[in-house]
Amino acid sequence: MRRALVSIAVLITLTLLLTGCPDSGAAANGGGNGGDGGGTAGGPGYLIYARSTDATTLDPAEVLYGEDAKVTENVYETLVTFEDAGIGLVPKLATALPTISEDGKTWTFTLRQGVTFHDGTAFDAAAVVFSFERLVSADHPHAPKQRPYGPTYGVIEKVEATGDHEVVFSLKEPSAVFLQQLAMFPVGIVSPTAVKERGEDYRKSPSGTGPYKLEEWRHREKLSLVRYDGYWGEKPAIERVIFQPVSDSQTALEMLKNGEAHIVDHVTLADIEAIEKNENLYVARTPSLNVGYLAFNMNKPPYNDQKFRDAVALAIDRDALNKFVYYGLATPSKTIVPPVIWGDTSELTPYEHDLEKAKKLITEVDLGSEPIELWHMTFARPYMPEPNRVAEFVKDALSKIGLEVKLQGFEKASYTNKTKDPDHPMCLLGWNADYADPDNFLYFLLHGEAGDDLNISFWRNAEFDTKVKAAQSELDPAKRKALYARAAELYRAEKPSISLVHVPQLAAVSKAVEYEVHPIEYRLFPARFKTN
Amino acid sequence: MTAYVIRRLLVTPFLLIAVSFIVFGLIRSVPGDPAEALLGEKGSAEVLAEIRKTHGLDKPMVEQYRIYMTGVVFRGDFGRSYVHHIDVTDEIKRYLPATIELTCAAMAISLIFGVGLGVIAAVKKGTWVDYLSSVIALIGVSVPVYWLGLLLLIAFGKKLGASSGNLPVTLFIERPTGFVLIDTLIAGEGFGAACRHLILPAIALSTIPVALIARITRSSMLDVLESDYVRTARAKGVAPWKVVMVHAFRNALIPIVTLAGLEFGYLLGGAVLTETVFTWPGMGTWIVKSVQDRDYPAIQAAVITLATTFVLVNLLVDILYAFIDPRIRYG
Repeated sequence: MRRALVSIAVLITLTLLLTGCPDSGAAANGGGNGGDGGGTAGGPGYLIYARSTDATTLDPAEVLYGEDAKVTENVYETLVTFEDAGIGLVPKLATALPTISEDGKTWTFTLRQGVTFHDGTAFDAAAVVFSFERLVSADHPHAPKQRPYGPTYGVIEKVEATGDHEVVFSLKEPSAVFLQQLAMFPVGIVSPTAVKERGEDYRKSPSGTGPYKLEEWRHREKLSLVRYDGYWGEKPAIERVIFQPVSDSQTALEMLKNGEAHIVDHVTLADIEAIEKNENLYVARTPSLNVGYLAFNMNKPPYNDQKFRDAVALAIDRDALNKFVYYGLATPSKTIVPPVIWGDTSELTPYEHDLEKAKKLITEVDLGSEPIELWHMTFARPYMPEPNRVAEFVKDALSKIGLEVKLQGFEKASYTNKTKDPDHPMCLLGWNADYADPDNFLYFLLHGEAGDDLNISFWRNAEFDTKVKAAQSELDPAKRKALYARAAELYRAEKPSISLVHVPQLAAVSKAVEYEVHPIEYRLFPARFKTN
Repeated sequence: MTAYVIRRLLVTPFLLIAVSFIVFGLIRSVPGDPAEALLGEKGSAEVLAEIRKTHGLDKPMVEQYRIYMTGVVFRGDFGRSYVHHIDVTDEIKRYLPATIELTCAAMAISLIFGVGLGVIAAVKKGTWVDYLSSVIALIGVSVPVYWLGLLLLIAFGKKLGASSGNLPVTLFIERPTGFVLIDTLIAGEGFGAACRHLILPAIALSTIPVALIARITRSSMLDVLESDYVRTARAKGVAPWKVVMVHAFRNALIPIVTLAGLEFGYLLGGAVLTETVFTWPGMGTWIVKSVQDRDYPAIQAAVITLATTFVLVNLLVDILYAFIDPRIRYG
C-alpha cells in the first residue's frame, strides 16, 4: 500500500510539473493581496454575491448573458441610465438628456467632464465614438469577436465627436426606442487605450468609468471588484464586491445562512417561504421584465384554427398556474408586454377561463389524425424556472376539455432551433426584455419582419405590423400608446401565442445588508451594510 | 520492464488520435448547435450566422477536423472555449489540479478506511464486527452522494466555516500550482481554511470507494487467510498481527490495487454531484456544462485529457503489480 501511495504522489508531482505554470490570467488590473482592505463602518468591507455561474466576458460589446451584465453594469457606465428604482431614463455620462432635431434623426449629447477610466485615460467624445463604432461595425479594427447586440443598434448611421465633450448620433430613421437602447449594457463606454493595448485580453481585463473596477478574476471560483477611488460620482459604501459562482442553490442558501455569502440571486421559488421565515434573511424583489408564453404554429392545423386557440386559452387558469407551479409569486399575464413596461393594465381584461365554453369550442375543431403536441424546454429560465411542471400543468388543463396532449422536452442546445422548425406544434417559450419598451416584445416576437426567427408562431397580420412599425418612429408618447393598445388588442384576439405569467426577480439577502433589486440593471454599488 | 513501458507510451499518441476522431464526430452528431446554445431565445439568424462563422462552424466537418488537428499536432493548440473565450488548455490547467486534489484526498480516506474495515472484517469473520463493516459498506454504496453532501454541509458547514468546497473568496493569494493545499502552504496563509474546505467534499466523494475497497479487501484477505502458507505461519507461532499484516496482506493486495487504480481513474473524470454540491471547480461539472453548451473545443480537450490520465493510471497500476508480486514479469 505504501508503494501505491508513493505512486499516487508521483502522479501528483507529474501533473504539477505539467500544469504548474504561473496563473497569468488571475490578477487583472493590479490584483494582488488585498485582504479585507479598508473595511466599511458596520460591515466587513466586502460583499459576497453568490450566483449560479461565472461570467464569460467583461467586454460590454461581447456581453450576452445576464451573468456578464451583473459585473459589467458595475464596471461600466452608459450615456443615459435608468432611474434609481424605475425604468425612466436619466443622464449618466451625459450631462443631460439629448437634444433631438426636428426630424428626429440627429441626437446631440453633451458629455460629463472630469471623468476618468480605471486605467487613467480621460473620458471624452472620442471614447464614446470608439465604443459605438466597435459595437456596430464588424469591420472595425477593434471589434470584438462576437457582437450579439450589434444588430440592435443598426439604426445608427454614424457617430461623430463634434467637440471634446460633445457627440452627435445620426440615425437612419427616427426611433422612439433609441434612448432606451442607449441605457443598455452593450453600450457601456470602454477605454479606447485599454482596448487597443490589451487586445483579446480586454475581455478579462476591462476598463470602464464605473464605481467598481476589476480586482481579480479566477474562473469558476470568484470575481472580485474593488471600489474605484477616482470615481466621479458618489463612491460605493462597500469596498469590495465578490461574485462567487455556486451552481447549487441549496449550497448557496447554506452559505447565506452561515454568513459566508450576503446575497444569493438564484434561489428557487419553492425556497422563498422558508427564506422569509428565517430571522436573519429577507427576500429582495422587483417585478421583472419577462414573459412566459405558449405559442401556436399559425401555419399548421389544427393550431392555426382560431377556435382551437380560443379553446386552449379558455382552458388555462393562470391563477391556478401561478399558485401551483409558481408558488403564487408570479403575475398572471394579461398581454405579452409585462405590466412594468405597459404601465396601467387595469383597462386590459384578464384572459377568460371558462371550461364549458372551451369544451364546446373544441368540438367544432377538426383535430386531424395526428396527436396534439406541446414542445417545451427542460432547462430553467427566469420566466419558467420549472418548465416541465408548466408543461404538465397545460397538459392537465387541456385534458379537462377532452384534448389529449403529448409532451416533448428538449435541452438547451437544441430547443430554440426546434421552436423555429416550420413544422412545430405548440411551444412553451419566453422572453427577457433587452430594453423597457413594448417594442422589445411586440416587434421582436410578433412582427412580420421578425421573420420566422423569433416570431415562432410565424404570425402575419398586416394591421398589427403597421401599428408596431409606426410606433417605432413615433416620438409622441400618447400616440405611441394608442398604437400599442390596438396592437395588443389584435394580439389578444387572434392569439398567435398566449402569454401566461410574468415572474419577478428575487434574491435572498442577509439582514446585515441593505440591498434592493433594480428592475433592469444589476446594481451593487448602492448596497451597504447596516450600521446599527 | 523499461521496454514494456516505452512500448506502451509509444502507442498512447495513436490511441489519443483515435479518441479525438471519435469525440470530434460524436459531439457533432448530437442534435443541437453551439451558437444556439449560446444565444438561447435571443438567437436571431444574423447573430447566429456571425457566431458560426467566427468559430468556423460553417465549414465542412472534415475541414474543421483538419484545422483542429493541425493546431493540436503542430502548435499544441486545443482551441478556445466558445463560451469563455479562453484557451481550453488554460481551463484544464485550472480544473485538473482541483480534481486531482479532491481525488487524492478522497482516495486517501478510501484506502485508510476501506482497507482497514476490510482487514478487520476478514480477521473477525462472522462476528458483529464483520456484519457492521458489511452494513457500513452497503450504506456507502447506497447513499445518494448529493443527499449526503447536503447533509454534511448542513451538519458541519457552519462549524467548519466552510459551506462550500471553495477557498474563502476573501483570501487573496497567488495560485501558482492550482492545488489549494500547496498554494496556501506556499503563500503562508489560509492552509487551515483550505483543509477545512477540502474535508467535506473528500468525505462525500470517498463513500463509494470506501465501500468497494472494504468489500474487495475482505474477500481477498479471506482467500489468503485460508491458504496453506498462512496456516503454516500460524503453526510456526508467528504473531497473529504479523501473519495478517506481513504474510497475508501483501498477497491480498493485487485486487485491491486494481480496484483502487480503477476508482482513481474514474474519480479523475470528475465527480459531478460532489462538485456541484460543494462548488468544487473540477473537471466533472466543467465537462457537463461544456456538453450542455456544445462547447466543442472544451469537450474535445477534456476527453483527451481524461483518456491520457486513464492510460497513465492504468500503466502505473500495471507497473505496481510487478512490485507487489515479483512473479509478474512484463516482456
